Amino acid sequence: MKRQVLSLFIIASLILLSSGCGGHVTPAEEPGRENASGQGPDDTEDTEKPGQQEEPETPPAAREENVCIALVTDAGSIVDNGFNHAALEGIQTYADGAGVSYACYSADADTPDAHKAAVLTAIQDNAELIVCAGSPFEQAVGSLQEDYGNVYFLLLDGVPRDLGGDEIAIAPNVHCITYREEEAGYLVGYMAVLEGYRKLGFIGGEEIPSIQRYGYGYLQGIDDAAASLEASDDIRVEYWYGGSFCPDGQIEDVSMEWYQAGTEIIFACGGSLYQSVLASAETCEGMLIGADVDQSGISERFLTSAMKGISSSVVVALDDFFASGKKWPDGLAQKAVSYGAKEKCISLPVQNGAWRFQTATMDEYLKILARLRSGDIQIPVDTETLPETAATVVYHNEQEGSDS
Amino acid sequence: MNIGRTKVIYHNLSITVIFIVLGIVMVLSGCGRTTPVVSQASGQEDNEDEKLTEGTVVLSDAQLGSYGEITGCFFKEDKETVSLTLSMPEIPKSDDPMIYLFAFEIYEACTFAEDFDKEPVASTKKATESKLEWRYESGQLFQQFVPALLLEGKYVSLSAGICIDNPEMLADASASGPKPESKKGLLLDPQMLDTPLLTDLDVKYAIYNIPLSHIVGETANEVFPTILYEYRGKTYKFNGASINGYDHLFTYLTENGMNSTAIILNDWNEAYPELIHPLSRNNEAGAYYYAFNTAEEEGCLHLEAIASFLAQRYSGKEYGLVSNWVVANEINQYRTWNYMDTDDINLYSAEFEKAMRIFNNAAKSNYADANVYFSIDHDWNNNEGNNEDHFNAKEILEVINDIVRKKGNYDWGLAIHPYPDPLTRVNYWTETYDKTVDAPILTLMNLSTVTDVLKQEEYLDRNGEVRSITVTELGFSSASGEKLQAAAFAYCYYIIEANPYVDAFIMNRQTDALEEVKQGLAFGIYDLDQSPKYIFDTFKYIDTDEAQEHTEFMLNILGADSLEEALSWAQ
Repeated sequence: MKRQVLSLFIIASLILLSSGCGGHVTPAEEPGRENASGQGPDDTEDTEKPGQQEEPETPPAAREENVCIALVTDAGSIVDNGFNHAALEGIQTYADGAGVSYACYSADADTPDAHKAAVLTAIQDNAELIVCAGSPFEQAVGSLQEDYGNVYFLLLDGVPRDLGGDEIAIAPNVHCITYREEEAGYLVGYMAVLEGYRKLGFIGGEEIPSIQRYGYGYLQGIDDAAASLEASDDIRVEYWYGGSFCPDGQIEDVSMEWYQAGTEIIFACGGSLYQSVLASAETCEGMLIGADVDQSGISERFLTSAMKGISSSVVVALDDFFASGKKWPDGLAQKAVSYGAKEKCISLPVQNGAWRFQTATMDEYLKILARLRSGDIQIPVDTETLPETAATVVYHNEQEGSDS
Repeated sequence: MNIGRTKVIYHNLSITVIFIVLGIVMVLSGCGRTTPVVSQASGQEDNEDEKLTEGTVVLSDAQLGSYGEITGCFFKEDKETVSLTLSMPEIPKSDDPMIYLFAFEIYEACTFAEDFDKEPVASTKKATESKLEWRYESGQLFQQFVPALLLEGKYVSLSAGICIDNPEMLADASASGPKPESKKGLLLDPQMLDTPLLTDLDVKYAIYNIPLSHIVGETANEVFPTILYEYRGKTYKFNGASINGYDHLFTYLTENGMNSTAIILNDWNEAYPELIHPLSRNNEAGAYYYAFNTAEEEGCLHLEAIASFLAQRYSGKEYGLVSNWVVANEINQYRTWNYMDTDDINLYSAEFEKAMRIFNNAAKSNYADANVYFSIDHDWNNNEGNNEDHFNAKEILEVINDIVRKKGNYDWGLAIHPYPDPLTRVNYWTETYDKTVDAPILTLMNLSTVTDVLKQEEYLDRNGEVRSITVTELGFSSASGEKLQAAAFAYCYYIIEANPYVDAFIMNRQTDALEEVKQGLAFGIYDLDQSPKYIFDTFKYIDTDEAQEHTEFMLNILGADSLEEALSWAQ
């Protein structure tokens, strides 16, 4: 029976791609919904006959007719191997498992008005729960959460804000998710050292809290692993914020320089800047660590990825939402919750082909993960202060500052 | 001639005297191949013998082949005598007044070839209602018995072979297994024995795999050395260290009141290729497990020895009790789980049935209440007549039942694995399933598909009851949500609890398996790192007074107003 597992994902992906999911302010139509509810065309007929009595022996989920979950994304591609894609995977995973329908909506531009328009379209389509992918939707949720109190919102990686950008109170129909990136960073740093790497690098997109948390967790993971191996003196980490989440010539130059100087592996952290690091790695036969999602499929040069569990967090939240009777339960309603290892939303990829450690073992990984989950390992989240490490860390941005 | 191997008992005469006389006569005369051992008839009986020899009907070899009906083949109360009863409409003509009974090994064809040289285990004078009795000898538990007449100097069978159908007569009546208070079971993680991670779950049924490669052969372990086991004159070796692990497991489960099920799996073993069926002896097939060798003497006797050893060892005495034995895995998936290079379902089923009977008779003869099962997956009736990928479970059920009835009925049970399709699917309740016996897929929502088959008269067990059905493997992945997984489990449990024909629900599994997780399947109650999932409490309390408190969320996920409504969907 195992043979059937892969095909589900392949089919689901193909359906989504072919359905235009990711287009501009366009709900994913029937193909996506067919797949989501697990029904064939005959079972997903949209037209309801007035007064029609439901067959008592038919489970309600089999008669799902409205869009239950709507994913709303910015104007970027929804299958970009990034944030939007991860959010979609989370919805798809839950919906496929639970038999609920979903649709995708994309803003036609990356402006507050366009983002709000995309959300309104989903509301007009009677979506019961709107999943807003990322901080671009903070103002949209802030302006709509009270006007549409009968609609539920899941805001990823953000909190409601007013039009001026100030944080406002979260309404009871809204749940916000933030992430403990520091735990993901810690895991990849720790495992990289266990794997045998001693010359490491970190290139972050911009010096913003989420990237800092990745980076500081990475340093602490490296430091703890080095200490456990009594190898702190052997460790050197190059650390730099490149100032861009996109491929960039300077990022490529810096990473090339690092690799040529002996850096063995670089944690490329932020959007698609990894493309520049990967170009250098391919030239110098260096290695990378990916961020946010499993990036092993992009290149064999990715040792692993610091998965901040976007997909997992969506699954966890949807699971709670539906188990509570299509509403946010206490503890999630009107709250922003930081999801991490404890919520099983921080991990490294272990799927076939993605687990590439040769020396570090799965048992070692699981033990560290268990300690994070239990709280045995606490990682400070203070982004104002550089972490103290026994290993040598070279902060290149500080050098740039002093150079200037 | 092999007169010393089997014993012939003559009931109307002095056994000892006749035995000696016959032996001397036969040895001196050099006969034996086609001349049977017959009882000495007195002069007064000559006329009657002549009449019996002539009979009342003349039949060809082919007609004789199914002329007799064996109405029983069983141990008598003394546990030392086996009795076979035979019924015929009339007395067929033959060379002499006798009916002979021959024993064939289970791997042998029950035919009388030109070079046939067996001695009968019993004989009696022909009658429309005959009884043949003999003293039981070790090994006959797995043999098949064929009544025959001597016709034109050759033996001709009167019916197909039949096996002893009450092996439980040999069991120690004092053995007693646990009586589970609920249907809740679990595939165990051996690393969690003796820990709260198991005891907290209050498991009633436990299941565990025994791949043969783990237990056969030698070990260098000095603490638990190789175990030598004598069976039918040959010494077989078992890995003492591995067996010690199973000893500990089953002792622990028994002492903790759990009903144990062992799954016997024939994995590839370079050291013992004879254990693999000759039609399956191809490692390049890449199957998980291979068909048992029930076709050749060496492999089949080894299998008998293994079955005897395990059944004896885990019969509730020194090393714990295994109450249920599942022979092989998902046998309808013959390409992957019980490989044999044939798409002939009759051949495949006949070979498998021999293995199941071996385990049945071994288990029952050691623990009378033992149950033996074969397992099927959800591919009930969907191959559209093309057996290239798998056999329909429904068809294999029909064929095996037919074989068993012909060779002697016994109380085999059916282990089902009604997974949602595909395995990643959790919401098995959201589809409308065909609930007839011809449904393509067997799931929790149409269990009547299988129970309606087994309720038919020809499928009933020896007591006229519907056979035991157990869900020995079924799990729901938490990858789509831990509460969703817990809801799927709870609903499944309630469906099975409400079904009078299903004895237990053994969930797959206690801890996530890495290989499954890599495929996106996380069936465990515990994560890979042993941290509990949401299902932990649901599983723990599902069969207690606190169940409702821990399953209320289930109805929200199912979209039902009440459990009764939800259960009606699965009717």
